[in-house]
Amino acid sequence: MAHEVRLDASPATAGSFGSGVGALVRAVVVLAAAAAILRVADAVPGLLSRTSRGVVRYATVADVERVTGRPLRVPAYYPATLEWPPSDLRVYLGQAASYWCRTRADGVFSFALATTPAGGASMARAVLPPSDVLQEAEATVNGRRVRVMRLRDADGALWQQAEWTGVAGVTIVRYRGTLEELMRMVSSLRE
Amino acid sequence: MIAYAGQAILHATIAALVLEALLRIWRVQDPGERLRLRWVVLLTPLLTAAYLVLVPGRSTDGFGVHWALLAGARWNALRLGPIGAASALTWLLIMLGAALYLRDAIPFLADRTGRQAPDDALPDAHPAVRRLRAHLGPLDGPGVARAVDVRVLDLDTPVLLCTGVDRPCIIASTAALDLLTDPELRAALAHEREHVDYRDPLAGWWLMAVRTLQCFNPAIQIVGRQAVVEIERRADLGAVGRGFGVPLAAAIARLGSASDCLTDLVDDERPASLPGRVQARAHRHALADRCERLIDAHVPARSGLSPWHIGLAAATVSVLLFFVV
Repeated sequence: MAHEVRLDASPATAGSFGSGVGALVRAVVVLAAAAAILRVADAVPGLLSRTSRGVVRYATVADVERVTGRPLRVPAYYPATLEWPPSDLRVYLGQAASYWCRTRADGVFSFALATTPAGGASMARAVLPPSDVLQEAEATVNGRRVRVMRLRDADGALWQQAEWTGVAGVTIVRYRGTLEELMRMVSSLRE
Repeated sequence: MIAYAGQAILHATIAALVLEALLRIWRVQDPGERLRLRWVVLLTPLLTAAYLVLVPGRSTDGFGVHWALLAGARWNALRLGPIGAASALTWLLIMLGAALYLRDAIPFLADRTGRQAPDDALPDAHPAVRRLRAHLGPLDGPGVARAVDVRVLDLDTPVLLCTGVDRPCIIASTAALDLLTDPELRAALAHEREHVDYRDPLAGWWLMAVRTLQCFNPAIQIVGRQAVVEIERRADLGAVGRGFGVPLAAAIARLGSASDCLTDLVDDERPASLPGRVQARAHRHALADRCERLIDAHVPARSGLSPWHIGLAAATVSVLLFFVV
């Protein structure tokens, strides 16, 4: 019956924590490590789906119109070389929206149209592909002041872009083709 | 609703992992102290639900994009057919949580509702009752908080357990008393005595209440089971501290090998299905490990876990989870 019981030697009062400051420092280390892991976990779906934070992809035009509460605008002049319906529909924070269309011949993304609420020009960056501005100029189309740009995308392809602010908000039309066709599309778009 | 359930599961999982890290980094080994920290995890999703009311701005898309460390809904960007990955995973986890809950809740409730102190207990003068009291008496030291009520039932099934929320009571059957030698019985009673002193039957009900409120949450169900293990380990160490390690291991092994045994000393074994057989094997391993620890008679020192440390752990988890939506 006599059996030796082994008790750990450390005193109960000091304990394994050391001082209160030591416990606090360790808790902060755990907190920081956990925050870093959570941040990585948050970035994974964006990396896999190639969308930035806050961007949600939708399957249909109707879904986007329901979420944003406004109709998607389509130019009356729409080149026959482009596919319809759009291959990609994105909404940022339920406000800025864009649709991307491919060329029928090669399936490459060649057209994107983004709209944002009033004052939301910066939101458009989240729903459009990243690109570098090569050239920029001002123009007037159907009485509206339009900023026209030449861009280079991440793959090195050249795009033409027109951007203007109307009563409803900002509109950006981006086309991987000639400037003439872009301007025809822009002039056919109603506010 | 599904979004709230998903967030609660995410919160409980993160809280469980963070608290597990704190248990290790703070080197908390005493089961009583570990149990207190496990309660932080169990209550966390209930408390963080208050964020929904207190900080409504936290539920906006803007918070998710600009402030959140992790927005679970972002995983819906990955589609599994018509449904987003986060939603699909939430549904799967809800089903897992419900299965884990029912697996423990059904036997718990069936067991507890049948555990009323019986009226047909043997009289005090019966030799079996006298033997039980003779072994229990020496466990009442000078600092004993309460006298322990005992009941002995004339049953062929081995029964040895502690029950009673209000007035904890040790119930034993003549079959269990016949099965155990005197040192084993004394050790088993020392274990049950610890349950009485800590009012563990009441803690068991509290645990089941919290698990019921979060019956969809698998992380809570797992931590709930961990808490039960800590409760048993605390009772084991109490007996080991009195020098009953080896006979308690022998009692556990003996009761564990008896068929239809009803005791909180040994967890149920359910080998009916293939998962049941896997579970039975894990159960046997766990039983062997437990007996080895008892024989080893190692009692970890208390770390000196104070309310300040509990508060620090709770604050750490709360701050982190504020930024998880």
